[in-house]
Amino acid sequence: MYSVFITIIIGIAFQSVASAQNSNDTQRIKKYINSTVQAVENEQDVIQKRVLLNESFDKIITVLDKVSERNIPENDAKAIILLRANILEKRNELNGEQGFKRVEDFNLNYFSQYVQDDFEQASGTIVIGVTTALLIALILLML
Amino acid sequence: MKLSVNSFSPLILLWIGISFCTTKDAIVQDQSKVLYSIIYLIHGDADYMYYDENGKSIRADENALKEAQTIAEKMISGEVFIFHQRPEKKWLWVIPRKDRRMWYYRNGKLTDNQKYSPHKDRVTFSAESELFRNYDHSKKSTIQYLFYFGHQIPRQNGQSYDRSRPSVAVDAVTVAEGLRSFLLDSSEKFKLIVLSTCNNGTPTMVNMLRPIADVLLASPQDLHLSYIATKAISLIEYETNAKAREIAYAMAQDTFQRLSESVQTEISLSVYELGLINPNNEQIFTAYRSYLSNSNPKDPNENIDCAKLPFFNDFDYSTGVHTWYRTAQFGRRASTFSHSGWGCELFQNITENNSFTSYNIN
Repeated sequence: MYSVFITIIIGIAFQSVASAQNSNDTQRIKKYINSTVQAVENEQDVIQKRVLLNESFDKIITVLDKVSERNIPENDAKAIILLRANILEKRNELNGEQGFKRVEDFNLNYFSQYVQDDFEQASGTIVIGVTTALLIALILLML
Repeated sequence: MKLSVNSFSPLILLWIGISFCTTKDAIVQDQSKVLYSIIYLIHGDADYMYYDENGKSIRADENALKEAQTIAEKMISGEVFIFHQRPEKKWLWVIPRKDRRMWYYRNGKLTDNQKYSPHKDRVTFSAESELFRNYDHSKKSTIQYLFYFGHQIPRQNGQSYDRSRPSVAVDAVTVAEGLRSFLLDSSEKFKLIVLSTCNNGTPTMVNMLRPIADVLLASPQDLHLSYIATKAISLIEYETNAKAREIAYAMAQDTFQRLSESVQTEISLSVYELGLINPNNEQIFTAYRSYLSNSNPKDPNENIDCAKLPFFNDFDYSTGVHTWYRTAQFGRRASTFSHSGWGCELFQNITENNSFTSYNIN
């Protein structure tokens, strides 16, 4: 009787955790981007603002590259390519590369908000599976 | 008609007056009568978190729910149904937990609320439309407004739209069928459908919805998660003959104003008068179908302005479409200053250096 009770409790807990996991992991990525936005807005020095943004982009690109090296589902791999291209384009624009006009110093706060707004919108259409999203969140924490 | 952001009709001026200064009571109708039905469908079975300009985390679906409930309390001449499609869980993988919620307001008062579960393997919104039909069927008004809040409804292959039910397809076809199931009679139409989603102001979606609605408000391209503001629906409390088109204009104007102050990404909103598009512009639907079938899409996650595609004819396709547009403040689209009001799927190729390339057109 006791073992049946334990099984039920574990079953309920696992069910709740599994369905909540994906959402929590993508939210962690959003939280990371928001922490960059906050840091950029709080930083007074424009050179440091640009450094913060570049470091953040590099970190996300590194994470996505590390995740891509793993054996992840095909759909997740496509989603990662789209995400990586999106972040790379933002970095290019920040630094005025690949045909972009360099983001002006006085616009860096707005630019960081733009990156966040764009990622929040993209998260609705770029779907990443539970395991891959967890992997991204974990590597992001470790770097 | 396009790009007339500042065209104010008398009704919109009335709405602005109501919004800013009045304490006037709405016209009080016979409390037993229901002059209209409003249906809010709020999808919450995915990641809807975003951060506002102050860094505060917000759940878009919860926010939309609060706004819908506030509006429902003011709609004293009609009835308001609010459905919140939360992630569906099961006890021990078998017994549905009824995680979804419905609130029913009649004459501005909350008269019922209940939990429910989605129907298994059935038409999208079938559980919601069944609940809707259960309430005083014989006394229902034939004037209906429907507002949907969620992520982009995919044209096809809509698996994983509900994150808790990834095997159930939700796409343009199932959503159009689902919305139709709220109509009590096959000859009826919604006065207004609002799709508060990204990328659904497309020829495909307009073609799907034109048999069942007079007016559609949707976003041809991006729409931030903070959503379309629907408080202008209260115009029907002040002006019983308010036209759906002008209610939609007021909603679009409100939303455009709010988003302009809070987001840096592109803002695109279009009001489609479906009756005007229907007889004159049939060719846009066939041309778009041809474009889709010839383009071999890879990752249709993003729309472009249909005016950039070769089949598009600006003169023919602008009738019945009114657009509010502001370019993104950064990015490749930052230099785009006008929009046709029609969104077409962008078929992206990824090159070796992972940059976006141009779309395929045969």
